[in-house]
Amino acid sequence: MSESKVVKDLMVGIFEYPHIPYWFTINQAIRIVKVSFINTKKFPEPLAILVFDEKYNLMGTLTLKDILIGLEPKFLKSTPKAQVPEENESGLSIIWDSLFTKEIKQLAEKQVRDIMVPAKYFVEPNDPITKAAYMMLHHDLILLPVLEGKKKFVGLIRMIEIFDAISNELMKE
Amino acid sequence: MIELINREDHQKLYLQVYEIIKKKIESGEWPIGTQIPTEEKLCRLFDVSRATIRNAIMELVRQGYLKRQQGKGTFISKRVISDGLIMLTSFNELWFKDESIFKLEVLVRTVMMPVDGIHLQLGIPEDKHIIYIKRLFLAEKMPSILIESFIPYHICPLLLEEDLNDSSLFQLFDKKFGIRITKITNEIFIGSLKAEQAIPLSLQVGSEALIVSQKCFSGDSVVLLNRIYKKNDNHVLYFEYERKAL
Repeated sequence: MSESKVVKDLMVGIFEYPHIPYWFTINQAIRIVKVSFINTKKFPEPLAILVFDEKYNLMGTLTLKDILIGLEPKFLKSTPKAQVPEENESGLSIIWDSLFTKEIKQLAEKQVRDIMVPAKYFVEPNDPITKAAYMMLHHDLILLPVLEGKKKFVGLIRMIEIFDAISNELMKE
Repeated sequence: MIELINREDHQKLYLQVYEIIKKKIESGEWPIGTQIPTEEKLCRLFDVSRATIRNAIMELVRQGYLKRQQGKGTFISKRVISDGLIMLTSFNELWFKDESIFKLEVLVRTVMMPVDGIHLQLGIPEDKHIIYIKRLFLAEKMPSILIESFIPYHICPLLLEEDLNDSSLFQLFDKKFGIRITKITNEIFIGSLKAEQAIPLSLQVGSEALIVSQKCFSGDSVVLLNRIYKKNDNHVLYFEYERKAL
């Protein structure tokens, strides 16, 4: 791995991604996904929305998967003790169809802070990319915020750029 | 002798050209009825692009200083707007008789995507970021007025770094960022409040309040959209107009 590669060499700007405050509803977040990604046919990897507080501090991220989990009826959510065979689980999902007009509309009024993945881990612009890679792999993250002086949110580091940098090193003779 | 524009100035070039030409018209140096130089000549005079000249001329036409005549050119016009009422109340977001009784609290200053048709009001695409600011004015420690402000992020990206407790957005736009507000429109109506407006004003959700939907323009662009929610209390908004002597 090239020793000179640091996070700031690979990070992308925060305005590559839509911003929302934590009090937006799932419904509003869905609208933003449609407007920012689907309608414009822009599909950055990963597809995510950044969630902020009142003072423009990053609180968390929201992916399409998080949104869908937020819309999942309560009884379909797995519990640690559940010992349900796979075929039965898929059978239950059929029932979900009948709920589209009822529960899902109520669930879509939930605030995004209830379903986002909180931003707990950060890197600094001058950290080596190996640190970013380690954090993403070991904490199962899709995006890692880059904070300057542990405070100012200046960018994002993504798996795709880390993968590219690592694979470039690997392909070198 | 033509006044030169100042490239060090934060103010947009077309607004500087607008101001210089306006002065010439108001002072009579360019008399009513005369034709102004062609766009090409003005470009050379001010050493600016044709787009800058066009924007300045468009603004002067809109303000009634110039009149376009198809196939003939652009002429200095008798400005009919000055025959109307002149607003004497300070040119600001809010109009108070006595500002000193109000204390300002900034509740929110963040960036978000426009929702609920805000992009249409601002004239921007729906996938563009906006700055959102929410301020509460208290009078005698009681909430009185709530203002939600929406600003296209690209208009003023450094705004969030400013101390919003000390200056009005108008002052910051004008003095700090060189964005001159040239027109304001206000729509005033009674409406019911949602939770996000009612709670800071210590009112029940669904309570009625006076709402002012205020659009602030710089040239043809909306640079600031304010939604002002005024509680029914002892404090009034104050407007003063005077007919200018002809």
